[in-house]
Amino acid sequence: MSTVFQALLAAAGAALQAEPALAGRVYAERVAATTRDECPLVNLLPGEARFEPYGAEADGLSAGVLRGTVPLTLRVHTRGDPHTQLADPVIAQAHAALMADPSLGGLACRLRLVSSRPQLAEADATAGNWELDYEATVLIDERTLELLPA
Amino acid sequence: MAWDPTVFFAAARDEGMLAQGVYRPAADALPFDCGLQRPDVLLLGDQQQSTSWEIEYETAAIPPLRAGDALSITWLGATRDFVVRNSPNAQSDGYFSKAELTEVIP
Repeated sequence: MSTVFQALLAAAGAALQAEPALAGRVYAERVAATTRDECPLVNLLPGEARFEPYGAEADGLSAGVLRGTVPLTLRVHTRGDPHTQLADPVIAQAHAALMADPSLGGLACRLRLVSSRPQLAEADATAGNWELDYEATVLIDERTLELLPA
Repeated sequence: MAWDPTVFFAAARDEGMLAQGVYRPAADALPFDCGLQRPDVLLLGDQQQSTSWEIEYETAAIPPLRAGDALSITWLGATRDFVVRNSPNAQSDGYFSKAELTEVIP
């Protein structure tokens, strides 16, 4: 079994890959720089997760269930102008693909969008990155870091 | 002997070191010679790779370039279309100018 971190990344990646408009344009944890020819594309990235004791284990005296929020960042890369018009349909498609099942296949209690950050840079056709931050609320087994049914 | 940039530029052209440009906003296309550089650069925290197209040319050879002006540049037998990205920067005494370009990809 995968830990909560890999399980959520894989589920979100699969949801994005299943969207026909994004086929071949979805990456997970890509660190290689993108080129003009490859854009637009989306890159799925993990973030800093936080957990706390949950339910009967909330006294913190024994190992048990943790409730956590696990960030997933969706970065949309575009080239050209205007950046917002190029990124907008990709964002709409990616968001719809993720929110079609906010439980990510029953792994999460919920998935929600918490922030967005557009960035621009002058380039051979303007380079744009638009990051959308999501948080998945999950329950996990404290001993194994595996997801518990939502 | 005084420095004469016209001699230098002509010599570079004669040795095949310059690209051939065409200034296209003119009513009649206006040819000019230019040096062409195209190093790749990394942007946005090294997440995107771009080509930094830049020409250096005799400032008086063509009218003042403006952002969005169309140019064609021929180098090594291949002709590419560009638009000017920013207002050009005069170099030193202003005899030469440099302009950054964006390639137009159909």
